[in-house]
Amino acid sequence: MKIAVAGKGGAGKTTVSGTLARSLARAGHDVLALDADANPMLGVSLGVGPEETDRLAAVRQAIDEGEMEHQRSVDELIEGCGTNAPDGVRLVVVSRIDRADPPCP
Amino acid sequence: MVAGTAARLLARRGHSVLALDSDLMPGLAVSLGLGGGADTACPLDGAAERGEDGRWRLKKGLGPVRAVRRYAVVAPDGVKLFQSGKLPPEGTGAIMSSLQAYYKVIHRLPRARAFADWAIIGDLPAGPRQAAFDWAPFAETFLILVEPTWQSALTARRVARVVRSRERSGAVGLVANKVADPADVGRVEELVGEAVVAAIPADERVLEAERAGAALLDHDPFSPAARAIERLVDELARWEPPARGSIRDVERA
Amino acid sequence: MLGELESGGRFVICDLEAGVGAVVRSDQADVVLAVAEPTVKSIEVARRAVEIAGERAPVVVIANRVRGEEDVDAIRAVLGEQELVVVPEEPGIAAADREGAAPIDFAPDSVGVRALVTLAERLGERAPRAAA
Repeated sequence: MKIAVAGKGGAGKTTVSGTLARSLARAGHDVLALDADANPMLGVSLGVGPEETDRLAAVRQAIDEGEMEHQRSVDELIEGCGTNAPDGVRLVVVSRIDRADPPCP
Repeated sequence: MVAGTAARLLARRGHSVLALDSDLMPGLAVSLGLGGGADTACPLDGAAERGEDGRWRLKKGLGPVRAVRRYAVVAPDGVKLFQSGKLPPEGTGAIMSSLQAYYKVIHRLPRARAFADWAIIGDLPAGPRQAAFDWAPFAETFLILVEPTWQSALTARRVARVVRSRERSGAVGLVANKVADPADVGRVEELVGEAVVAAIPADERVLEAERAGAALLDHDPFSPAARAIERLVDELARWEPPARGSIRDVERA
Repeated sequence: MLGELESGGRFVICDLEAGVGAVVRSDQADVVLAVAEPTVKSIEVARRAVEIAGERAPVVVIANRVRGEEDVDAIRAVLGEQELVVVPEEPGIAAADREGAAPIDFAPDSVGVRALVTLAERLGERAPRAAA
């Protein structure tokens, strides 16, 4: 099941996402948590701490800037841009950080 | 607040100052002292048009210099404010032409000789992506405002990485903002992993000014925050090349 | 991104980019959670998210940082027809945030965390458990 968590910046999306992911994992579900925010902070709400959260963002930035090879498939991305959070949640940073969407949609 | 205050202080020191506001949320006009009324949805309405190929371009005969002359508003101390527009309730669709014109103009500003000796300050929207586009790629000095929280610190690290990943990255300065006690400066340095160039104290006067919709310099020019921003501007004057930078405000991130 | 993933037996939870644009792009979600604080702007973003996502997936509104009945009423006045989960404003979650810790570790017994755990249980019932 795919769950998308939406809202205005600062509304508490990340707290909701992190807590739901951990709860579902505790209940025995296999959980993949995707951080699609341009300023990814989900790791902190999942309990991996600010430093590991920033390490993932830095890996992501390095990939986007071409310093590291691009992951070709989703599975490679889960492997390369991911980390294990408590209760068996797998966290992956999927947002591009360096590049802005065009100013006009 | 820092961008607006710094822009006015630079103007008082005799610089020609152009302030660029690409934030879809209100802020810079108020902190320059223009009040909330200066925020308009489409300040550059009619400056850009769609060609037959469907692409946006500036109206014929309208270059960056003429566009700034025609559309920028004059703020106190003679600061010129050039805005992309504020988000109307019906979404960005309505301000497309204004946004398009804005980006076309600012991307050509760096090559415009008429602005060669101006101090150009871009107040960027919050978030690390903004450091990669907008006015930011042209900035020679990049100030990153950071509060003593881990969220703000992580955002600052990311902004710094984005800025430094560019070929001509210019100077990057970390500014501790909303510093409540002296230990906060050390905390910011530890959290971000680099030294700060200036510290701006947490100041009730700033909140008062924001609530009143007034510029800090008009509300209380002798407030601790205003004095700290003055010291920051003095510090920048010692940098080479002179300040022509972006203020990346992480306080809203 | 959601479209490329086969969820299989697992749960995929996507913390979207802020704003409405991300909702438009995430048309592969089976459930959309619209998080709203009791402020006009925040409720407005949630309302638009419901409008966009509501046509293709069930939407649950999460009323976050709620301080009292008036706050719930403010959100219900705009989003009253949606399923609503209330997460109260409380020191535990705010403290977790300051400390850089997970709310579920730092304040597991807080009302807000418990409300989200209950929501997780309900979502869990909608999908089969992974073969353990």
